[in-house]
Amino acid sequence: MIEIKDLVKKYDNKTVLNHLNYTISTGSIVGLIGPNGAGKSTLLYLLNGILQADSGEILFDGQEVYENPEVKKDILLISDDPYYFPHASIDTMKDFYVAWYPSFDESIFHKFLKIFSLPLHKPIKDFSKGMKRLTMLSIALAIGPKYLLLDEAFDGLDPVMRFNFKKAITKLIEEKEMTIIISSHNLRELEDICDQFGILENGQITTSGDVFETKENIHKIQIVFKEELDKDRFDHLDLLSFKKQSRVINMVVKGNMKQITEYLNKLHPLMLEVLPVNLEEIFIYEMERRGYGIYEDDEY
Amino acid sequence: MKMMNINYFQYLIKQHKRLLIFINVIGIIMIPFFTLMYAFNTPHDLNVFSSIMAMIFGFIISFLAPIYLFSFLQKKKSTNLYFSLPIKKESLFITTSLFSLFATIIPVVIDFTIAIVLTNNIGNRFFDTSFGSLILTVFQIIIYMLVTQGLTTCITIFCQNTFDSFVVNVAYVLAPCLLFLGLLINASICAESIMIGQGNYASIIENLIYYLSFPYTGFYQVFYTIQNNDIISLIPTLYWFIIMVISYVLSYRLFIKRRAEMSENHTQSLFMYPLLIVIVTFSLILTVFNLSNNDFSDTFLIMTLAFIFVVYLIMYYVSVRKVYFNWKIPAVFILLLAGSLGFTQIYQSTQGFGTLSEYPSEEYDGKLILVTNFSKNVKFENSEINYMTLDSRNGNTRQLIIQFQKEILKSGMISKDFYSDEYACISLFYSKEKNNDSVNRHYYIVDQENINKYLKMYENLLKTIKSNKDYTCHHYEYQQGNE
Repeated sequence: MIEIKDLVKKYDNKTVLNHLNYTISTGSIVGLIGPNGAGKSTLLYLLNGILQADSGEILFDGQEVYENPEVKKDILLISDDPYYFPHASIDTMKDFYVAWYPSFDESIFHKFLKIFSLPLHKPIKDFSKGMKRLTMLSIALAIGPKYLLLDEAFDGLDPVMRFNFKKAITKLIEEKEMTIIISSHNLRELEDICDQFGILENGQITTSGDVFETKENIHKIQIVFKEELDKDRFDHLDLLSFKKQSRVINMVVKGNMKQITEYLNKLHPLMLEVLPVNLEEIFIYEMERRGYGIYEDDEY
Repeated sequence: MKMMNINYFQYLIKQHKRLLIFINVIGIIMIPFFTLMYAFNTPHDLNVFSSIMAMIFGFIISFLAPIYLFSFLQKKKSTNLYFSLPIKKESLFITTSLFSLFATIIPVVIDFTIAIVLTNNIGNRFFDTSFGSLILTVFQIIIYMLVTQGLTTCITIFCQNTFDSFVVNVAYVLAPCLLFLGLLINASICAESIMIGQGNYASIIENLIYYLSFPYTGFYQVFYTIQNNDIISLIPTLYWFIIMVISYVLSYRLFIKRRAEMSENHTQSLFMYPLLIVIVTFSLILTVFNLSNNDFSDTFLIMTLAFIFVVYLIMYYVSVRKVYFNWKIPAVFILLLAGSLGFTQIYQSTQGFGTLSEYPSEEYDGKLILVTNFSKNVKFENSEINYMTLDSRNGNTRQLIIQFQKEILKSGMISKDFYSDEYACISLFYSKEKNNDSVNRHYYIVDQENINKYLKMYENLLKTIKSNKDYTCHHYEYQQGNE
């Protein structure tokens, strides 16, 4: 289990993480989402013990991570732009990681190199961004760390490789009890793989929970009335989004579906349709509710 | 060693296999091979040559190795990678430092040993250094390589980007030499303006170089040991050894406190750019200050100071990576200018902090030379007058010459203005028995009348010396017409 308690991280005078509290249970796959500059990468770097927190603590199974090799040997971070030594080949980098992680399994490593069609002896500097990321993923899969941190996991991967990437991670989770934290802007991809999510905003996790349960609890509703109704008629509902076009209303509502439909039916709609909602929409609605950079059509 | 990560050390050897081979090949070329080549052309002082080559090679690789091995601290991505590894920072520092020493010291020692064995086998006639001195030389080479690595490691860890790391490291080798030159030139000009004659009055400042420049001291110590089968002095080596220990302790502390977010930023520490800029600017001002006798109406001085100010500005703007103006910039320059003026004034008013004297201290107990040169128009008959070498281990002889010097100075014959048709230049050289360091004094006498007075004093001196049974004196006949 990872416990983040009252975590504060500042760069110069800018507070990036502001008394952040969050708990991640073992074996979960957490999607870390948030607007640009929210501090997702900073949080991952703190979780890996690269950065030192200004205050607060990060505990992995009760042990502080910073300057603690016993904890760090179970953590691996794949950053958005992994570092490779100048002129290094995959083989050279493998030697480096073998020196640090005794659990490195060469057979798994070579298996994934084959799956991802990566050349062993060519210089990594000539690889595309996606190939570099897959190289690092192969290393991570070979190490099989207890905690895998992925920063902007799907950047630079083509659809086939994204599929392979997700499949490889899923397989790894099946085989080992791993905890994975993935930050990404590609929320549709996260939705496929994550069972938990946390929205990082203003230095804190403002919304978090189980992806499935949250999706069950948030509903996109299209409703048509005989006459125009104002927003205040829906004050009884926990509205995340409300858009009205004459008699047609599109809304996103949080809560029990049965209770919501019962309430709406009392208003005698001509038509009421519940549409599926995805993680990306949840994120957008949450951001919209907080007034973060979502533009209405007439603003363009 | 508990603090060292054996796996990582082995990995470093494997990873840098090619580099290690390259270092060894270059070492073999520079030390044994060059010594052999030198042996065929100049078959003497081979041990001196090979030890100097070992020092040059040792200094270069000791300077570059820490910059290279700790360069991961200068880039964000590489710092993140290294700081993410399951190792404590202290262990990472110790393992990297030990590898740096392993990769540099071992090749130098091996190559130097090969050179010594090879030259010894060419013929024993070349082998003029004792075994003890060779061991001592190897020991000194190792000490100065450690000093180089300690200081370079410390500066590299202080710096926050690759450019600063290289520039500041180079500057820390050169700036102390510049400071030494500034002090020496300034003090020499000051001294000559207040002393009676000319000469190396500020010779005490010359010793400062041993405590300012570790490459100079290292080369000099090794050179002296191998040539004279002796140590010139343990104090500078001990001093640099302490500096090395402090550097490593400081490096260790800095490394442990180093944060990943410091990489790829401007180096902030006062001990890096600010201190270097102050040293370089102060040295330059000191160097030029007395050339114009502190006369601020002198165009040369004003132009030179303006040039130094431009150099100062360039250094400052490079250090902060932006061009802007605030009052702090000229204020610091003015303070340095005042500091230089202050140093000059204090040096003059305190007679070089009490170090300036016409007469040598008791330390100068070796060979003593008295030379008198005359201009063409001077007439005299004594052909023994020109060159006299005395052995001042005989205390009486030394006292006799110092007394002679005192009498000349007391006589009031000495002139600062020697642009005359008739002049004599009296030169005195007092040297140390141990290392041949010497002080020299040159006094000018103008006018035939004064010169005649001097010749009479000289004849008396010669008579006294000759009457002394145990004197050792060599004369060279003077050929009139030669200056």
